[in-house]
Amino acid sequence: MTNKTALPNQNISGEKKGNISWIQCNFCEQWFHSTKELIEFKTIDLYCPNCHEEFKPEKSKKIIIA
Amino acid sequence: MYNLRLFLEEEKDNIFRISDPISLNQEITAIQQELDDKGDFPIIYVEKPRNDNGKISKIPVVCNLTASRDITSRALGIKNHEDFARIYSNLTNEPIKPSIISKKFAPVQQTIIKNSDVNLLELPVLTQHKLDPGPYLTSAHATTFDPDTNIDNTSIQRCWVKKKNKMSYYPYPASHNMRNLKKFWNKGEACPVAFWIGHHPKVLMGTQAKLSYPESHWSACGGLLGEPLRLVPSITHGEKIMVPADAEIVIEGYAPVNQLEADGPFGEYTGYMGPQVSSPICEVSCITMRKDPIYHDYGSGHADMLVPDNMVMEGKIYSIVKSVAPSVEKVHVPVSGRRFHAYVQCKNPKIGEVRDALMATLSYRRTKAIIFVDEDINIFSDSDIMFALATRVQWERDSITVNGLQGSLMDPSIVRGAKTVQKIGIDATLAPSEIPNTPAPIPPKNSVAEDALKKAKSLLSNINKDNWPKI
Repeated sequence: MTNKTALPNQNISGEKKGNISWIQCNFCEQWFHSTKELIEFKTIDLYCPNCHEEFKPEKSKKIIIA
Repeated sequence: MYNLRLFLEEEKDNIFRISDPISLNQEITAIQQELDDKGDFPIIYVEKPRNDNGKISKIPVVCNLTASRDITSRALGIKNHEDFARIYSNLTNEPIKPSIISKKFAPVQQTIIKNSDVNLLELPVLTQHKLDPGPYLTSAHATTFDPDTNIDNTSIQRCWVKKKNKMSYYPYPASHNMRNLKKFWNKGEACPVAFWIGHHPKVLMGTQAKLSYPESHWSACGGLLGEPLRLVPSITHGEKIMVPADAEIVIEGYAPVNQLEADGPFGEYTGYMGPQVSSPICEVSCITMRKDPIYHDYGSGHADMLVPDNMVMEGKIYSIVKSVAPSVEKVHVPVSGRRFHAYVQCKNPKIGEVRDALMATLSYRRTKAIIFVDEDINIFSDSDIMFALATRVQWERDSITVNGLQGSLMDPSIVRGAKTVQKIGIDATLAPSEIPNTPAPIPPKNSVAEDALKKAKSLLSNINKDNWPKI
């Protein structure tokens, strides 16, 4: 999946790192957030809360995994 | 020209005027306490203050002068109290030198009482709390000078009126006035001092500017006034100690060498009774006042004193932080934290910037806990701060604690025998975005549509909600 970016899981003391993953809908291009587990579940369709389209994770425009 | 009465005229619609006789012993303070508890902060003007002997003073008492953030900001020409830190910091960094006027034009010297005619007991001095040992001046601005440079210093000092011509006063051990006193005493000389009471809040707040030593406060007052502060030589000390010509009352005298007396307990800003301590005394040589003076009292430990003091701290913290963290927008030192807590709001801080700022602010002697938050957090709401702490902090990663720093020894939690305190800085900001033009790896906040909110406000605006559950 070329559209997927996994954020580094490094632990530099004092630097804040968030823990939420984001998906950019390929239809409306809006972003919505999800768990890493759901994205990696592959058999479950994601659901865009903005345009209500359902799609497989690999059909996302972009994915950022935290 | 600026003075206390001009300010009272400007705020005449916000004055709670009490025309019935009321005791100086705790009764005025009890009103302040009730108002604080209810979140109401009018100026209080007591026309007929009554002393313990039942005598009504001819001098009225004003208090809660600066208990309101709105009123205090307005007094300084600041429209929104949330902008106070930035504007105060800027104004006090643009000093204007004072002017010296002739005694005959100085209202504060319209009446001069000297030597055996001096009687402090004629002043309507409050006994604020039930464990206070007697009446205390709480808005007496003590002006002393450094004998090495002749540069003056001014600071509010509590003064216990003990006799007609004697009071003890308490310069905090680390204070600049204490340094001046020790310099005189080390030379075997009594320390000259003048205490002045009552002025426009621009002047009161200017004297609280946190400066280096030795550095006069008069120019900082000028910065806030936008014009030179009018000074006049004191009667006892001449040009060595100038006093504000437009003040209400001045008490002049000397602190005799090494004469210390017990002072306190005293109801402190911490909300606790400070213990009895050893204090210098002042032998009063002269009292001057306007022909119709107004006595100003600060309710110690109440919003009356915490608000102006804390707002000045906000200005100082802003100055300290802005130099290392340009993203800082606003500062709040909340009354709920007495003087120990500071909330700082940042807008899109760069990585590491908040921690740099935390390190800088921990060095400020007065603060004990500093919390940095993002711009979506209202730093004037303790509830919002708690929300940020609850959802944006992992304690070990996001806090810095440092032992052995200077702080307030009046903090009841200090380790026994310690002369320093432990402080904490907390980064309660959210994690930033790690990839340009993409969302930060954090969840969005719950919210409702603007239109829906507008409709809800409209629906609720005309309903009587008095009997609805409040908790």
